[in-house]
Amino acid sequence: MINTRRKIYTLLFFLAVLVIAFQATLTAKDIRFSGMLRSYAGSRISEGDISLTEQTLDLDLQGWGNITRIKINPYAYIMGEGDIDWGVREAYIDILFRDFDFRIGKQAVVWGEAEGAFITDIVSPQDLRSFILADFREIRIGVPAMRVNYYRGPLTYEVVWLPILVPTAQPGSDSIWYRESMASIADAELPEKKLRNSEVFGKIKYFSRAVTAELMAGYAWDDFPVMEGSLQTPDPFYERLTVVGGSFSSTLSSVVLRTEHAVYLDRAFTTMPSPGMFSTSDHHQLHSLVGLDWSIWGIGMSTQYILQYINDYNESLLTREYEHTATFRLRDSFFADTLTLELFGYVGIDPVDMLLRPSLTYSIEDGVEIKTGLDLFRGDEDGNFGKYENNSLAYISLRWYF
Amino acid sequence: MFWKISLGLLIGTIFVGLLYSQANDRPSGQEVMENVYYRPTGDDMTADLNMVLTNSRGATRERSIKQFSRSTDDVDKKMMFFLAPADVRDTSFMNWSYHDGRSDDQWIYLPAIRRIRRISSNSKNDAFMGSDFTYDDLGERHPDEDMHKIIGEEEYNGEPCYIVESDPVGSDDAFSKTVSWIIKDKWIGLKREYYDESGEVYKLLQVDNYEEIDDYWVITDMIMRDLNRDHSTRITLENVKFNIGLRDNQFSERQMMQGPRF
Repeated sequence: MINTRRKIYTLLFFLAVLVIAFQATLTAKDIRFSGMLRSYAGSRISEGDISLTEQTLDLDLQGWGNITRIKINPYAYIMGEGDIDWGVREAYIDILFRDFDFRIGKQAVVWGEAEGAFITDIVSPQDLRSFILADFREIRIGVPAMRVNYYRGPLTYEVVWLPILVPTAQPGSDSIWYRESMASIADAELPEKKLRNSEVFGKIKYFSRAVTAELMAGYAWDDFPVMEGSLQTPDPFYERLTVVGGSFSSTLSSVVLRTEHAVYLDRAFTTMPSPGMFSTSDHHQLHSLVGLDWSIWGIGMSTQYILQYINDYNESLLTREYEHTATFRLRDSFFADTLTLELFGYVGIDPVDMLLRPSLTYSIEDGVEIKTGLDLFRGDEDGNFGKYENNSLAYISLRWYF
Repeated sequence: MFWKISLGLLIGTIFVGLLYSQANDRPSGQEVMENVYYRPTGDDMTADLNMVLTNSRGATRERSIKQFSRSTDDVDKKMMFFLAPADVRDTSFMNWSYHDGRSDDQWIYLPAIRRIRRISSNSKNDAFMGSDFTYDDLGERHPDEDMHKIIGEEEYNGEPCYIVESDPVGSDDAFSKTVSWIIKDKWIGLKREYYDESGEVYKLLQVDNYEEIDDYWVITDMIMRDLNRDHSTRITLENVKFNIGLRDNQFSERQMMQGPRF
């Protein structure tokens, strides 16, 4: 019954979008309606089951006036059992002037130079319901925000104000990505919706032929809650987070160098000062990345080294003092880009574990592609990836863009 | 006898003089390629590009692109926005080509990751969006990046042409040399052969149409053939407009992400 009602709501929702699209075509100077339909089936290698089946509809409506632009991005995930998860990832209005522009509404904000890591890119929270396997676009949660960009020569000044905290989305208890440790943070109470609880980020970006550099700062909430109380009665809550950071990219001979760094000032971490009891402790944390991109014989290559370090560490912290992670990507295309082979991997260094993501994508025709691949988790079960060893997946998906 | 010798000397002098004069009138290979590079193209230009990729079986794929370019005294800037097909829509590419001979700077905006990436110089030999053109082909190759010499003159497609051989100065190019057919006075390249290390032509660029629009010569139809793969890419230009008033700061990251609405 609930499913039927959800399906009706979903249908009504998309009908409403179509009506808006039709209305917009009558009023806007220019309108574009596009999207993507995806069918996905994944099997856990250890179980041999078809544990994930999903149909995805992702729509994109954009309209342009003389100095305005709208974007609405509704989506629906239809799970194997018929459950529907739908919503609007982004819905905003741009007002574009010669030297500055405003963006008001629900939006995903992307900052920094890192690939597959979130260092200064922390304005939009993450959707981790499928761990970190979701597409780049889908792993970011749109947040209600007002953004102002001012352009002056090679400099761009950007300020983003978020009136409320939207936290990171964690897997539900019926998900293969769910871990018991997530239960205690699931009920974390959000800060009151007061002006004093809003978040603000600022960034200065320099863009020239030689370098792209960013300096940023933010007064925000940590998207991941911390805990006090006891194991039996945990008390999860969100803490303020102050961050300063920056990024840099440049071409050095035949190599593109990318770096990104952030210091989270007095970040709250959960500790266990005595068995079964939680507390919090504030520490500065450094999050740094150095990456290189290059190409040999047409094979695109990329590698990154990522360091996380907690200052003034003590043994009661539940987070490791150092985390070293490396990533790599190899990508090659054949037959005029119709066939693409890719291998992306994360390697945790202490403890040693990894996530390897080989994939093969074939473009059947323009806008239609079939993709098959593996998501292989290996290594120490205390590691960020090794703990999901039983979730190694083989998958196939078909995408149709329109 | 005296008169015969005098007449012979006179004819010989005139003949040598004519040869010398002809040699002096003919520009050097470097000058020819500089004339091509600096051919007037207006302050700025926009056009709609249609790119048709054809494989060895004759199957075709199309890409629609909106292009903008702007020239100043020291740099030529170009932006290309993909409008279709749907899976590459909103991808954009920007090229800055410098008149002082520095190698081009290039960026690509990938909407799937919402980021702009710099293109490394090695990647400039990679195929551009599956086509037979490389990223380097889409830039403006500066004459100083090659050593040029005229190796002949001939009429090609009814036009008198210089044949110019160009040897790359650097070592990071995919070709060992190119040979170009350049129309005299119009300074338009009609054909270019790309040679591999073994001295064989592996890629061929041919211009099938060019037009004078608003007093500027524009190539409106060209095809690049990959002879090894039996694959080709034809680019045609429509709606070509010059001097539409583009500003220098519009060739920016901001515009790459906002799309082709200036």
